Amino acid sequence: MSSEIIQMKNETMAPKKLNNFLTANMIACCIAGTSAIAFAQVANPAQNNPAQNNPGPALPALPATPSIDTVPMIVSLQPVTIKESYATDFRSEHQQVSSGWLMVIRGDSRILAPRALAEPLLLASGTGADGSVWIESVEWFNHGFISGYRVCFIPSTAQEKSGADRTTQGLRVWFGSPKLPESVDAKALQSELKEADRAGIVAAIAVKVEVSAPKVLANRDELVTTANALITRWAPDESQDGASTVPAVPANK
Amino acid sequence: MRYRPLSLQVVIALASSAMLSVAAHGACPGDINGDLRVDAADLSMVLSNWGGSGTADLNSDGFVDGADLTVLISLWGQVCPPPQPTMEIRLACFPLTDAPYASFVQTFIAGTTVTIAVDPGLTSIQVGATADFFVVAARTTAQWAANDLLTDVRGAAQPITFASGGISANRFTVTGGETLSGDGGLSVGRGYDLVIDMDRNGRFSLGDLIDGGDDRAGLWISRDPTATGPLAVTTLSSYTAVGATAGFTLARLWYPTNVASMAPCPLVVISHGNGHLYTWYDYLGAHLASWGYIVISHQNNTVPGIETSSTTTLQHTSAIIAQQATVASGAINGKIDASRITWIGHSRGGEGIVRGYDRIFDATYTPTGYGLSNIKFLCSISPTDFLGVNSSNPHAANFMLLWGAADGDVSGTPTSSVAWSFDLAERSVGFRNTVYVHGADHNDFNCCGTNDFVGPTGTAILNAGAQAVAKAFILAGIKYHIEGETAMKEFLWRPSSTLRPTGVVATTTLVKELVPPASSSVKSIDNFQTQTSTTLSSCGGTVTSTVANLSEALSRDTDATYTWSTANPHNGSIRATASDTGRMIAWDWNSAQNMEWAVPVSLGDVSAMDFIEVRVGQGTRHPNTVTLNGGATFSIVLRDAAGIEVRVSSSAQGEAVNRPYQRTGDGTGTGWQNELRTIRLRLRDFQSGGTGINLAQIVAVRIEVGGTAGSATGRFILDDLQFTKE
Repeated sequence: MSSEIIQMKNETMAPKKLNNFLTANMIACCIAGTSAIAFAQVANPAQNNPAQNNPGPALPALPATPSIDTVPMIVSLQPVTIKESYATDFRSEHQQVSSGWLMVIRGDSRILAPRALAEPLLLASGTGADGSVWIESVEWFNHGFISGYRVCFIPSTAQEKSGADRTTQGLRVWFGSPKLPESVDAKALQSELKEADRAGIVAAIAVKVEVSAPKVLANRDELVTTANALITRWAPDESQDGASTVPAVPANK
Repeated sequence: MRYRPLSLQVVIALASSAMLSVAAHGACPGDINGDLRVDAADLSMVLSNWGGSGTADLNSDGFVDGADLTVLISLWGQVCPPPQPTMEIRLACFPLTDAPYASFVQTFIAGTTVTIAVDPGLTSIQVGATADFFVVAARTTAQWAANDLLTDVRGAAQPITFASGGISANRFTVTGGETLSGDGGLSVGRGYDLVIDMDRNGRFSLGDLIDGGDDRAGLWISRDPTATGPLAVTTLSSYTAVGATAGFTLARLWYPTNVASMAPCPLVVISHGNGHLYTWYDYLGAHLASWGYIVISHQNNTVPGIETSSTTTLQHTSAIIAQQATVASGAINGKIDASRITWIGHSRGGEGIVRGYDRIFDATYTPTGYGLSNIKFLCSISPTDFLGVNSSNPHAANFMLLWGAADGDVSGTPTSSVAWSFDLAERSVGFRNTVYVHGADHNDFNCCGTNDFVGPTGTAILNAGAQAVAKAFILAGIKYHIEGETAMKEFLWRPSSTLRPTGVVATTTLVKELVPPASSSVKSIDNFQTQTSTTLSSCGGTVTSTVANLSEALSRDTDATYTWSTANPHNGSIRATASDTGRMIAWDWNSAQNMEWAVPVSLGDVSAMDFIEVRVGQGTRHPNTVTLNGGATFSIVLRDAAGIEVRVSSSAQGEAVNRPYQRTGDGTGTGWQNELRTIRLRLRDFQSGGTGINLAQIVAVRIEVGGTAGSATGRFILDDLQFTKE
């Protein structure tokens, strides 16, 4: 598995350090030798709208997707095996999921901002062991608007033709068209794949990914627990730790 | 000294001297024995009671003496009218400058002035007569039957003397009205019955007038519903719901601290929106718990969509019922009244609760621990509409919509029906009301969301303003639907100018609709549904009009822009997706015009109804609306079978159809979506001053605009012209 990912950096960066790195360099890294893609600057989500005297962070306008300008950066990628499969809510077919990749991405805050209306689908595509191209609707556990980091899971749905032997070879992760994930089926995903091709989204970008042997989890509960640990690390404002008595709020709200 | 015997000669001498000034003794002063004549029999009673006290004490000074004899002689020979039965009549009101001079209502905020008015045209009061006005603790019909003794909560009755000059001359400020208590324990207010004791006998008896002689209180003094309730609240920061979707198992709990000593409390479930946290609704959870509810706010699986959101709401509701013995160390065990459930949802959660209700309704989901009939009230705050009429439908549930006009997320843009909220409300066939809040954005209804405000500078009401509205109206809705506090209903339709929760800033514009479900309490003249012709109403009556550009169609903006276009007559209406069926009419005017509906004989007896009402809004960005640039007024005319016509103006009631929120975007011009509000005119106002109109034989209803009837120009969107009961 580890050979699938080319690591740009040999160290794992703390969130704050990574932020600084991104701001300073604005350089995206690439996977598997594909060309580098410019990484959009993260707007300051905490900036007030002084004209309205509302202390909350402003809701940015949603940029058009899919677009190479909004492709997120992969921060970490962890293969996972789940002993007790579960039905994903991010596909209308609700396929059973028994493996996949736990992933942290850093993205454009304009896209990561939570919205009531349809948000861009988070999509991943790669190559199966048989050479076929797979595409999946990525689950996510937090939005990442304030922190810039989103904790996700690329499910490997066993029923898909290439599902059993999916690899990260040729991995692409991008934001597709705005839709409710629960409304997306295989046909819609194929359409999204074509749109991504048309938009020129040809590769993933990564700073540092941790690739190791698959982590074995008992069930989705453990997957959530693992994801929550990542949220606490990367997006603490969205931590929903049950022991907390203080709502996670932007500092200036 | 109490006993003052006098000789008969002295008595007669006194009686022949200068008249003493005494108050009239009820409806027939001097008629001591009640035979409707002032004669020798009454004199005999005076003499037989001489030196004592009792009914012959005509001047109420505690003695039967010469002064009483003087009164008797001054009235000698008078023939009195037969006593009237007691009369149930509205008395509590706020005064109006113009006819009908009083708007009769039930609910007042504690600390405000209370007024009563008596209409000489509808009662048998005699000019110059004095009666005693009582404010009595509210009684039921049965309680009045069992106890007719009048006990004024103010300590003493208030004498009132009737004057000539109609209702405007017979309005009385309730002495001490500002100090009437609104403390009703867990009730938001306290009820009183109002009695005018015509014969001043201290009892509710023949000839007396009463407001509240039935089970309804005549007067309701309400505390501020934005204020914290009487109960201390305990908060459990979080607990884990067993059986909820992994990752969405946490919930926060609020309950009255002394719940152990209380009867089981209704359950309130709060479902947050997308990207929100269950911890963001403390303001609402604590508020409702302080008024006697057990409240949870749960993690909500909103990212995948509405179906998943609804699932978590369904699961968490079951979970708290099932886990009450263990959650909070069993503090709420046995204290959840699962037969009275309220679901509140925000944003996607607002649609999610409707979807959850719909799933139970469609029998595609069977919850444990509760059922459809146990969900008494749905409240959606700024909900999305992803799923449409077949999947997100509140059906016959009691439904409330709160929505901010400055919402930058579920914005009401005409380009996408997902961003519409009113269409969810329009689908409801139950009791529904809406409160459209100018200056509130999407996340003003939680503590910590993004600032999505879009609106004119200086109009933002921010979190505090919007949350005050939410606290007040959600509490009012719950108390009305869950507890049967009927007086809280007035909060749902009366304009802020006459009934405003104290904590809601006076400058906040609230546009309210109330639509009762079809029932015997509604006589619909036109709902614009079953007849598509503009010359035929849904009740089968002929419709005539002189208005311009009349259009009856789906209440839907069809060109995805708010720019006014004659090709899109329902511009600004976002109340029906292409799959919905809600229709309305639209028309405009630049001079005196009208639209008249013939009322079939089968509907013409409205004597048992209370209101004529209509939902009406201004057509956004229409040139006439722009020209008017303010509230629009109109009049409603009723005509009976004898040809008597009576006109009541909305402006006389202080009512106007507000100018649309002056938001820009989605095309050229200023003004956002069409905002409908319910305007209700009390049918009694059409009888005010003795017009003689026969409400049992109404043959036509007419809406008039322009000229003396209302605003000189404008464009209206109208729906649901109907007679309704209280």
